[in-house]
Formats: sequence, C-alpha cells, structure tokens
Amino acid sequence: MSRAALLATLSVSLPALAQSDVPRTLPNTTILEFKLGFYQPEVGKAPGMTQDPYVQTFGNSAMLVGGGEVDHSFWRGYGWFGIGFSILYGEKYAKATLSDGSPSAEATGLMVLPIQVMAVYRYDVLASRYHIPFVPYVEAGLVCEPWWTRKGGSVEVVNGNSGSGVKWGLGSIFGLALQLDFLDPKYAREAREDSGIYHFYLFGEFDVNWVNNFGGNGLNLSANFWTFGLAFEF
Amino acid sequence: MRLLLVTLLLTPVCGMAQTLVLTVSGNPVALNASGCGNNVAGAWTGTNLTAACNAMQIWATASTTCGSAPSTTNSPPDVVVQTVQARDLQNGTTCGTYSFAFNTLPSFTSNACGANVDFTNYLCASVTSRSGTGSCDGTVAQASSLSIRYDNISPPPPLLSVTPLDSKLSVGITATGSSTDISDVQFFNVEFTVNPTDGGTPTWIGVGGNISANSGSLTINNLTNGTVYLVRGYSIDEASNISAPSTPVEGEPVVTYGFYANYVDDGGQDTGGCTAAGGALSGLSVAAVAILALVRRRG
Repeated sequence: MSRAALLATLSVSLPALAQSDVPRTLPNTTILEFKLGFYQPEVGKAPGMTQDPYVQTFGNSAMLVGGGEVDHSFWRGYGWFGIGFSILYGEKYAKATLSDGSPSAEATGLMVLPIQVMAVYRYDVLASRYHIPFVPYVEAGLVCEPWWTRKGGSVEVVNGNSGSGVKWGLGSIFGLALQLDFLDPKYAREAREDSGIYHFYLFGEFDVNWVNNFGGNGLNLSANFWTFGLAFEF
Repeated sequence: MRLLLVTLLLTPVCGMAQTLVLTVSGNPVALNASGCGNNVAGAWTGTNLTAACNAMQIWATASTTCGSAPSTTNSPPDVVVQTVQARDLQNGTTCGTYSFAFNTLPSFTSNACGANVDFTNYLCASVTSRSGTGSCDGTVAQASSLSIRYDNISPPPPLLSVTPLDSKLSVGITATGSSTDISDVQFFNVEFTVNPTDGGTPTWIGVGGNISANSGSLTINNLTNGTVYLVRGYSIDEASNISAPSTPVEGEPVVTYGFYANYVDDGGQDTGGCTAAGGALSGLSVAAVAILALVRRRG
C-alpha cells in the first residue's frame, strides 16, 4: 500500500482513536480464507542436483496455486491465537521434450497439494481497540505436500519408479490483512447482525516453506511465495 | 434397437383427440445390399380411433411427402404394406404390427436390390375420421419423416494423420469426400502393423473398435519406441458400408522426457511413494496434538 493510501486510511480511522474502547472480552471466531498465489518449488536445490528440472521443464515461471484456509481461535486475550488448516492446489504444464530438446506432442505436468496445520497469531488489537484496520499475523506449522507428475495423460514413470509421492516439512506465513469494515460501517454492522460475519478482510501473505522431508534427499518442494485473498471472520 | 416415433394428431371429433403412433424397428432404417432379404417391421398404436370411417393404411413411398393417402400416380407408385379395416378400428382395435420385405420398397421397381445406388423411401400412415356432419370426410392424419434408406455405395476412405508419442501413436481421422459423404460417415475403424522392412506382407491389427466419427481420434498404446508402424483406416457409413482402406501412414513412437524424467536425469533421487517420509507422519500427529493441548490449556 502506498504512503498516500495509508495516510488516507488512517485519516478515516483516527477519529475513532480518541474514543478507543475499554478492552473487552472478544468471542472466539473462525476465519475462512480463499487465496491465490504463485508457487515455484526450489527443486534444483536438493542435494546432488545438477540442474533445476522445474526450470528446465516449465521455464522460470511459477505455477498458480489456489485454495482455502480455516482458522479458529482459542484465546483472545491480546490478539487472536488459534489453530489453522489450509490446503492449496497447483499445477504446471509444458510440452515434454524429445531427446534433442525440442518439444514433443505430449504434455508433462507437475501437480502439488500443500496441506498445512499451523498455529496462528493475529495481532488484531489495532483493529479491535483502536479501529486501525490492519491485522498483521504470523502462522507456523507442519506441511504435508502430496505431489505427482503426468506425461501423456498418465503418471510419469521413469526406470520403473512412479513420479508421485508425499513430502513433509515446515511452513510459516507472514501476513497483513486489511479489515474492510471502514469502507461501509453500516453494511459491516448489518453483516454482523444478519449473517454473523464479524469482519471481511483483504490480505496478502508471504509463505516460507521448507518441504524437503526435513532436510532429506528427494524432491525439494520448498518455496517462498506470495498469496493474496479474501477472508471472512465469523 | 431404438424406435422412431411418428405421432399423428387428428382433429378432435366429438371432443376426443385422436392419435396414431407409427413405429419402426431401427432408427434410422438404413440397409445395404446385405439387407435385401430382410423384412422391415414395426408397430402402430392409436387412441380414440373408433371414429375412423375408412381403413387405416400404412404405405411406403418414394416421394418426400406422404400425401393424404397412398398414390398410384407417383412414380414409382406407392406400396401399401398394411391395411387395418375401419370396422376393426370402430370395434376398439388400437394397436397392431406390420412387416414387409425390404426389397418391395417403391424405389426397387427401377433399381435392383444389390445395385450400387443410394435412395430413401418413407413410411406413411393415415386414417380418416368421420366429420361433424357424419360423412367420411373428416381430417386425414398423415405420417412423414419415417425414413427407410437403401445405400449400397461405399464411402471414400478417411484421411489419417499420425503423431508420435512415447510408446504410443496418436491417430487423427477425418472423413473425406463431399459434404454428404462426410455427414454420412458414422464410424471409423483403424488398423496398424509393424512396417515390414523385408517387403513381406504386413499383418494388420484392428484397434479401438468402432470409433465415432464425432471423435475422430485414437491413441494406439503399448508400442515400441523406435519401431516404424503403418496405420490405416476405414470409414463406415449409416448403412454399414465400409470404405476401401486409406493410404497407410507411417508413425514411429519416440522417447519423450517429462518433468520427472528431467528430474531423474538432473540427479534427483526421489523414487516416489510415501515411504520416503519416514516418521514424519507420526511427527506431524504428535505436533498437532501438542498444539491442541497447549492451546486448550492456555485457553
């Protein structure tokens, strides 16, 4: 967000600072997120790799990933602390190559399905107490990532080994959510009363994942990537 | 066999709508010379036919329109294949069957069954109801579009294209000829063989069965990379006429390299499967339980 936009947002919110509420007990809530991002696994960084087969096959182009996340809070003392579960899906296709490197008539693809279980902390004190609509948050947890390849309409097999499996690792997320209530406080209040939706958010987050079986050999699906999306807190 | 239904609605008499439904086995009926000895069979059903005042007739015509009754002035003349007497209809007969020899269709008066011709005749039916004045001049129902085709002309052979894949050949098949020829093709058959390098006679192997003309593609699997194969095809039309074989097209499956092959070539050691995770699954479970317990204790 540009400095001008930030100032504009604060100018809307600052009047409320003068009447900041006395801290009150907030209910535990669930946050539902839908997000999209671009993911490029660091396949070439595995031990023993001479090239990056991802770049070799698909070019230096990230795959589009999309999915959702559900977080639920268990403690609202100072911020929002809870547990989250997220699942993304991404795929990337290109032409398989002939022995001379030229493209063949067959397509080859890599599909990934990162699944994460995370501890989540959202610093929503600014929004809940001072009406500053920004909620920074961090998440950390475990990643399970099924992956599979395809060539010519079926899972690619090389030397009798099937190109599919599951990788494990650790993941972390650093995000910033913009609470949208200030855009239309009346609508936000109605949504809360009618649908039980406390807040709407737009968010951007940076994912740092180490998905290489905790440093083991094999396919390295680690990646640092951005995702963006829309969230509902209810 | 599907049934082609032709419904005839008669103008209501005494407030009751009359219907007549004519069906024929096979939709559409299309035969080649091998069907010259066949019978064409079907059935009719009706409702509220007690007002009929003359016989119901089922007839075949070479004309594209049925008219209100069989015509002896058509060229060739119409052929009546079934008559149901008015008294039977008046007494409550509401259904029946018919059957006639295929080679008695009107157009066979000028073409021998077996000749290389293509024509379509139509099966019609009608019944006249009594009018409000009591005379036999009420509305006449007439059937149309129940076609019976004789076609003993083979379609042109198809045009094939072959794309080499890894241990496979992708075959594209296109009907050729006039627009009528192309629309007449219902299926393709495909055969392949190893290209005989010694000039011997190839042994053709059929693959894929009847391939819908709407699909027009086929993949031949389990081939050997580096071996040259010949592929040819046939068109099959509505009357089951089979074309001459198309000109054989060569195709040679080739090794292709996908992401996983590149990964292995670049030194990748992942052999797939889930066992590589080792104790990670149990580790994940323990960690998830620990997180939950911690959260609950603090909450």
